This record gives sequence, C-alpha cells and structure tokens, in this order.
Amino acid sequence: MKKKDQAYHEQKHLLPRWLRSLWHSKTGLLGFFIVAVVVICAVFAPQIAPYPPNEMHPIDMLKPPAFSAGGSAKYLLGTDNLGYDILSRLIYGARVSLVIGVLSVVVAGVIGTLFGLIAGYYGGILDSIIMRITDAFHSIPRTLLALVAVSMMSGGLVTLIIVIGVTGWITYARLIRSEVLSLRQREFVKAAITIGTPDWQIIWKHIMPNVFSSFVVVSTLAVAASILAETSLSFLGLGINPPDISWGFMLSTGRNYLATHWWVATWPGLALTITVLGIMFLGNWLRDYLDPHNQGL
Amino acid sequence: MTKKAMALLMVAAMVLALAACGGSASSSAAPASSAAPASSDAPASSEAPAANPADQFADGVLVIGTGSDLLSTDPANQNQTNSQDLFHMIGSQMFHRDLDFNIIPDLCVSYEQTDDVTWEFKIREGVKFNNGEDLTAEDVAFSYDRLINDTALVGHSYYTAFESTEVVDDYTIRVKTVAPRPDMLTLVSMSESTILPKDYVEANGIEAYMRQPVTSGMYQLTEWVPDDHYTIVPNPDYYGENKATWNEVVYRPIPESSTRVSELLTGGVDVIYNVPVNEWERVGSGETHIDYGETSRVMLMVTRLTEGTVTSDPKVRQAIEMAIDKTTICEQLLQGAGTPTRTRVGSAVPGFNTDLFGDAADLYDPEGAKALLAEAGYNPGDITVTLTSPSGRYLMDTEMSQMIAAYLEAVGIHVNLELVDSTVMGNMFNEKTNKELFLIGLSDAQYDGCYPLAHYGDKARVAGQTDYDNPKVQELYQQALVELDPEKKEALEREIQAIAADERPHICIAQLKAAFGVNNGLEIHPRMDSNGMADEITIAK
Amino acid sequence: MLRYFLKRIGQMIPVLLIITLIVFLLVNVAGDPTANMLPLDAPPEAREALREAMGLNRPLAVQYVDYLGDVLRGDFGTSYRSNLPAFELAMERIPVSLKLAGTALLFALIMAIPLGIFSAQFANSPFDLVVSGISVLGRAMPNFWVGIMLILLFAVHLKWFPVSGAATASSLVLPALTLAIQSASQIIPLVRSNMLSIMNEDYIRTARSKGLRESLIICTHAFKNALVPVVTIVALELPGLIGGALITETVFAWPGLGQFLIQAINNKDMAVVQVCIFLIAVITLAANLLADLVYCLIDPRIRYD
Repeated sequence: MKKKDQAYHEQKHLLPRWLRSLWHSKTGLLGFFIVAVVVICAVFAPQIAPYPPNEMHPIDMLKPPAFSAGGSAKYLLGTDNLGYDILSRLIYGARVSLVIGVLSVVVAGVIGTLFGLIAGYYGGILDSIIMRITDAFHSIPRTLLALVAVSMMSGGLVTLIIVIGVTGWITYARLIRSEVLSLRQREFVKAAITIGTPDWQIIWKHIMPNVFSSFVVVSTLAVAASILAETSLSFLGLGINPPDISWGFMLSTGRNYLATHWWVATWPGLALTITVLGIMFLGNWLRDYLDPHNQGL
Repeated sequence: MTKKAMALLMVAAMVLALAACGGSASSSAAPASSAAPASSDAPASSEAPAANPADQFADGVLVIGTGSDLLSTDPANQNQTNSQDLFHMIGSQMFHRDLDFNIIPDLCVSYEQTDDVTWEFKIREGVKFNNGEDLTAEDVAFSYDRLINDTALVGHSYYTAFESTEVVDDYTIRVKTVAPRPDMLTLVSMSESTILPKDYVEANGIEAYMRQPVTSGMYQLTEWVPDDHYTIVPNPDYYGENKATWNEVVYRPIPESSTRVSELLTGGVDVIYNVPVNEWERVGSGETHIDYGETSRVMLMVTRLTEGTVTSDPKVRQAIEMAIDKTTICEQLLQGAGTPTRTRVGSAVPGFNTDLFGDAADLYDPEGAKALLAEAGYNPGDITVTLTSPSGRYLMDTEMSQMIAAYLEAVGIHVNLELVDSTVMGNMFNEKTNKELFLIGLSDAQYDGCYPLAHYGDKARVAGQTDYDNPKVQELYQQALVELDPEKKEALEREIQAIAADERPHICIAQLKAAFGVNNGLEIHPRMDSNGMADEITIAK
Repeated sequence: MLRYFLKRIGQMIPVLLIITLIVFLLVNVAGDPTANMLPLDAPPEAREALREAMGLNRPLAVQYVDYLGDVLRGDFGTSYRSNLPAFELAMERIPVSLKLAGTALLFALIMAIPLGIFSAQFANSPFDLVVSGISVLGRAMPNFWVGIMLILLFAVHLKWFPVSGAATASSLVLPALTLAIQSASQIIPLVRSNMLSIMNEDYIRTARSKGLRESLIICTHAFKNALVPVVTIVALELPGLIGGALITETVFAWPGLGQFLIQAINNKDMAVVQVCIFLIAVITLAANLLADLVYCLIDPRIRYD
C-alpha cells in the first residue's frame, strides 16, 4: 500500500482497541471493574483484610455490621457465629472462589478440548463414541453428578476442583468439535493434510488459534458456572473444609441465621451474586468483541 | 400458521397436563391427603392466637416436625431414632422404659431366670394384632429367631447375644443366651425386638408388612406418604392400662433446619426436636418456647495411642485436654446446652461415674499445658496433629472443632482441621482410618454402662482405632460383662471410667442437652435417650 | 423425517448403556454402602456379614454385568433401607415433581414472555435495562437463598403461604416461584432477542408500511414467530426443573424425586440413587427428542435428512 493510504487506514488512537470497545460497552466496563476488584482482593488479601481470616473473637460473636445498631467500626460488616470478621473472610474467600472457578475450568477445558479435537479431527467411529458419551453426560444434571461424586470422597479444595472440572467437560468437547469440523473443510487445512503435515502440527498451528476466541468466551461463562456449582455443593454440606474459606461455605453456614442475624449470609450472598454478574457481563462483552463479524469496529 | 398453532397448543397442553396429572396422581397416591393435618392448612389458625394456646389441641391432634423421614418400617432392620420411636409406640415389646429409665412390663407379665443363660418369659393373654390375629409365644419366637438368624438385618448385631428360643406353651417362651447377659431386659425392650405376626409375615412376606405394619401396640400407623408425613392413631384394642393421650399424631419430615423452625413459628408444626442454638431466642418468644432435656450423647475425641504417633505420649494427651476450655465451649458455643465431662458414659446411665462430670471435668490450664509439653520435650510448633470432625451431624460440631483447633494452637500444637460429612465420618470410624484426633458424638441406647466401655475394655474392638491396651481395664470389663449383681457391676464400671479418664483413649468434651421447640399450648417431658414418645408431650395446663 | 427420528431413537440406546455405566461406576467406586446401615459401634464381623449378604465383595465387572442384566429386565434393585423396589419408589415421586415443575414453568412463562416482548419493543430504554439486569440477577443468585428469603418474607412474616410441604394448593406457590425465577431468567433474553430480530424482518416492515397498528403487528405476526425457539426451551427446561430441583425440594420439604434422591445419597441407598439418576437422564433424553420434533413441525425450513 502507498504510504498515505496506509496512514489513512491506520488511524492512530490513544487507547488500544479493546479498551475502547470496553469503554463503549457500559455493562462490559462494569463487569471488568467488578472482576478486577475480585482479583485484587484475591491476590492482595493479606494486605487488604483487616484481620487474619481464621482469627476467632469468641466474645464478639454475631456482632452486627458497623452501620447497624449494636455494630462498631471494629467489624465493618459484622462477625459470624464463631466470632470471625466477615469482611476479612469475604476478601479471603475471593481466593478460593476464583481458584475453584478458574482451575476447574482448566480441568474441564483440557479434558473437553482433547475429546473435542479427537472427535472432530478424526471423525468416524471415535467421533460417534465420543458424541454418545457427551450425550450421556449431558442428560444428567451437572449438580447431581457432582453431588454424587463428592459424597463418595471427602470434600476439600482439590476434590471440588476435580469434580466440578470433570463434570463440565462436555461444553468444551462440543464446542471444539464443531469448530474443528468446520475448520477441517477449509482449504488451508486440506492443503496442509495433502502435503503431509503431521496431525499435531495441523492441530496446533492451524486449528487451535481459530478456536481461541470461542474458547475464551465459553471459559468466562464457565468460571461463573463453576463458582455457582461450588455454592450448591456447599449448601449440601459437600464443599470446602475449614480452614479454607469460600463464599459458598459462608453462605451455607450462614443460612440458618438469616432470620436472626441476617448479615452472616447476606454479605457472601451479595459477593457471589455481584461477582457472577460481573463475570457474565465481561463474558458478554468479550463475545461481542471477539465476534469475527465485529472485527471491522 | 396452523402447524405453528398446533405446536404451540401442544406445548401449552403439555405444560398444563403436567400440572394436572401431577396433581391427580399425587392425590390418588395419598387418598387421605385431603384430610391433611389441619394445622398445616391456611395460616388462619395462627393469625388470631387463641386466648389459651392449649385450646387449639382440644381436637387431640399433634403435629411433630422431624429432620428426616422413616427409612425402614421393618423393626428388625432399622436403627434411626424416628423408626425406633415409631415401633415403641405402635409395636409391642417385652418391656418398655419409662421417663426415669425404669423397666416396666409391656407384653411380659412375669419372668424368671432359670440359670445363668436361660430366661423364661410369660406374656399376656388376649393381645391381638390389628389384623385380628392373636399374639402368642409363636410370634415372639418367630420375631426373635429372625433377629438371631438373618445376618443381613441391621438389628442382628445386637442379637448375636441370643442363642435360641423355645416355645414352652402359648404364652411362655424360653430364651437361651450365648453367655450370661445382665442386659437381657434391655435387649427385649428394644424397638428391634418388636413382635411380628408370624402367620401374616409368612403368608405375605415382610414387604407387605413394611407397606402396612401389622402391630399390637398403643398406637397404629394409618398412613405414610413418604417424604411428606406419616400418621399414627390410637389402637382401639390396646391391652395396656395407660390409654393413648392423643387422637392423632402426624410426623412431618422437614430436612432443612431453617424451614423446620419457620414451620414451628407459623404453627405449621407443634413440636420440633433439636432446635439450633441461634434460633433459641426466636423460638423462646412469641407463641413457642423451648424445653431442655439431658441426653446421653457425649462429644469426645477418639485419640490414637498407636506406637509412633505423637498422641501416644500420655503427657501430650494430658496437655491437649488441659488446653481446652470446656466451660467456655459449653456456655458460649452451646449456650448452656452442654456439660463438661470426662467420661463417655451418660449421666443417667447406670454405672455412671459422677466424679468425672461437671466442673470437675474442666481441666483448663493453658500454661500448665505448655509446661507439660515442654516437659515432654516439645517446643511450641513442634507438634502437628490432624483433627477430623463431622460437619452438621451433631449440635455445633463444626464450630466446636474449630474452637478446639484454636485452643490447641494457642498452646503451640499445630492443627490440621479435616471436616468430613456424615458418611465419610462413619467410614473412617468403622475402617479405623482415624488420625490423631477424631471428634465424634457417641451416645448410648442400651442404658448399660458396659456398652460404651467396650471402647476401653474390648481389645479386639479398639485395635487399630485407639490401640488402647490396658490389661487391668480389659479384665475389669470382662468381669462387668457377666456380673449379674447390679451394684458390683456398676462399681466395676466406675473403676474403668476413672482409669480411662486418666489414660485418655478418648478425650471427652461435653455431654449434650437436647433443645425441643414446643408450642405454648404444650409441655414436653424429654427422655434421656433422645427417643421421643408422643405421650410425653402433653397439653399445657 | 421418520427415518431421522428412528435413527435418533436408535442412537439413544448406546447413550442409555453409557448412562448405566456412569451411574454404576459413580456409585460403586468409593465408600462402603454399609457404612451408615449399622450402628457405629457394631463389630466388624457384623459388617462383613452384611457386605457378603449384599454381594459387595464380588469383582466390579461382575457386579456391573449383573446390574445391567437386572436393568434390562426392569429390575432396578431394592432400596436397602425399605426393602421395596427402587424403581416403584422413584416412579411414585415423579408425579409430585412434575406438578412442581409444570407449575414453575407456567409461572416462568407468564413472567418471561410479556417481559421479553416489552423489553424488545422498548429496546434500550430504562425498562429494558432493568429487565436485563433482573434476568441476569436471577441467574446469578443461588436458588436456596432465594427460597429461604421467600419463606421468611411470604410465609413467616406476611403469613400468606405455608412454609413447606405439599399439603395444600398454596404450598405450591413459593417453591414454584423459586424455580420459576431461575427459568424466567433464561427465557427472557431469548424472547427479547427473537422479537428483536423478527421485528426487523422484511415482512414486518411490509406490514408496518401497509399502515397496520404496531400493537396488531406485534400480536399477530411477531409474537407467534418469536415463540418458536421458546417452545424448544420449554421442552429443554423441563428436565432441569425435575432433576435440578434437588435443592429447592429440600428447602421446601417438597416430597418429590429431588428430595428422595438427596436422602438416598445421604443414606448411601445405592439402588435408589442409580434408578433416580437413570430416570432423570431418560426424561432429559426424551425431552430433547420432543424438542426436536416440535421444532421440526413448526419451522418448515428445518429438515433433517
């Protein structure tokens, strides 16, 4: 291209493209902000939290939040039934909720992508078998599967990550499979096969990069789903164990206090809802941003 | 357009049909559901509180909210509190226990122990099952033989004590035991020993019995809609002198504890067992109140004494007990629903050692604990123990384990807290995979000191779990097992408890109280064994 | 088309087999089913005897083949606890869950369809944003929280409805509402986006240019077409409302399949757990097939060869 045409086409902008798009989408911005706050809480918990999360204050059990009658600035959001400061536990809880959310998605992603790739790329009987297996898993509600699995083992962080991860693989398998199927028909892939490029190279260099954007979008929403799954499991008593803290655990133990000491369950409930909301908003924005039809923006 | 309309109509029809067919199916499955308990109907009954709350019980209908449904209606194949209660009320056993744990005759009119291992019981005449059959010694033999021979029954494990039965005549039965059993009368008063109708069960199978139990006791089961409710009404042909207090008792299983409390507060149920501590204030005001009762459940830590574990050192165990402030746990955490204890035996059980209960049981001395640990050669932070605890199975168990962990940390013992669910806890206990400390709440349905003391005296039983091996204790235990003189037996049992308290195969924390949520129109007279007979709930004066 | 559906039904068979395998493995791989059946203090010999009597000591493969054989004959085993056939026990519960699911779906549609249509009509207005916000919120809130809050507000405080159980018609309202809120949150965005895309279609513009009133256009043309994917959503939400209502049924003590299943899991009543999962899976598969059928009938452009 001639130099002046180039200059015309490459308008200079102050901010990178994604930031501009984020700014335009109000909900996306809100989502980004929320997720950023949660991540900061998770990473910098020891610096931000007023108390260590497992420090009991037995004399101050069940104190109301600072703005309520009987509350004090000592415990901004109040204390729970064991005398723990709720605000500190909320901040530390972000860690576990995020860890479970992200790592279980990694587990699901790895398993699902593997199966999806095999099914889509090799086709034939492998494809049929894998598709029937996904149908079988799909017909059993995820919470139920996770519930039965966790009830067999003792709870705990690792068990949860594995179980929630393993029960979520089918979304990825189906997504990757359909992407691979359509990509396989594309000329450049057919060409690569003809000239004898090894399979793994085709997959790695040609197929994976094209699958990337859908993968990212699905993953953000999957993180939200994992966080909610952990909450349900905690409700049924099968979630993480102390001294680990998660919002789901706080909500589950606090639910019996809803009528008498509303703050014990309400703060973690809000934290959960807002975080999931934020992730969903972010995911929606990402989907629009990465949509190939919108690339012209 | 027509196709679309058709499809839409199809869907609408589907949705409506679901709601309708679900409705008609459920009403055909429960024919009397339209006569559902009056007090769970429209809340009108609780809108205008009667001047005297006792008036609402003039119709003699009582509604109880329980935490779980009946699991099995085969008396020999169950061990849940609610089915035990049920069979005590609808079935006949040789004896019953009253509120003060005294044995009172039910079916049995007289008995005689002809030798160390042979007992002869004479039963009442004229007792009928509610299908018209007479209850004779044949039925007793049938029921007991089943417990002796069928190893798949849950109740069988108690009746390995019996060797055989012999029908002497229509109203006399002889039972031979394997070894002398001082707890014989207990064994024949348990709900598992409910007498079954031989002819009926042989003709129709136990499954038919389980669908509609054929019984002979004070009440009878008229209706069971699983997960919804089960109802008992008085047996008009009951043989006993005491008549049933209530015209109808309805049990409603409500698993979610906050929902159960809400039902009590709105008048949907009249009584609930085990009110959670934080709800005591709410339940204690308004139209309801709380009645407390002692139980025989003791929260304790099973300690591993196996060679090589850090808790095999008696000084460490002593330091652990001294580190824990049992009084604060009982008063702050349990809000008074617990009493410190150093023995596994419940306070109302024969053979209980009173020196190990109450204030004397709190050895709280954190400085002393630290000194003891130093004496044993440990600096703060040297020791790490794993504390395994169930979560949500016993009153405040999760919180208690966290408090214990905090107390131990305060004297320099590092704690890995492992919370497990009920089933995993059961597995660990049975498979003896417990680690250094294992928090559990054990109770005693046998009203016999020997039963809990098996954990100290039966070497085979404790092998692999605590590995407690004190030959003197084992000897005392074997003696107590066959000692037929109650006073001598209790003396032996007290001695065992004193030794065990100092050697600490179990570190006991507190004996729990039960809290019952009761409508103001009623009073409850709680039992120590955490079983509950409907007739112990009476209308308030 | 018939051929397509026969093929689909044929495909269901290996799926069902795989489901039985998943269910079997899940339930038999870890833990001892006899753990909760005997008192904690029972001697080990009693426990061993029980395991033998239940056939739990045989190799897994043998147990599975046995299980499969029974299933094919319609025998799903006996509930260890109550000694009654697990299949019958589960089937008894299904109508109760269906009643709740059906009512929840009805509530969800009553809420979602008008809200979806109006937010499409007034797209990007404050109304639209509020509705969007509410529907995202409905997906993000844990359903037991919603349930408990509804109980506290409407049953305890206002005393309009009973707290729990299935005794009267009004007991249906709160649990159905709890489930409906979640379903509606899924349905609203769908209705909205469908209405939006249809309203921009040519034939609508034609109708507008002919001078027809906007409301008439909405009611006659757009409405019917927008509903098409909703139809499939209804068929697809159904299994979620039955099998996924585990938590709601527990909170409200609703005696349906969900609560039955939770109790069975807690009590390690394996036969019941297996049959419940199996039934839920079958219902889901059937619902999916039905959704495809309805979709096919409605939209003549869809044809599967």
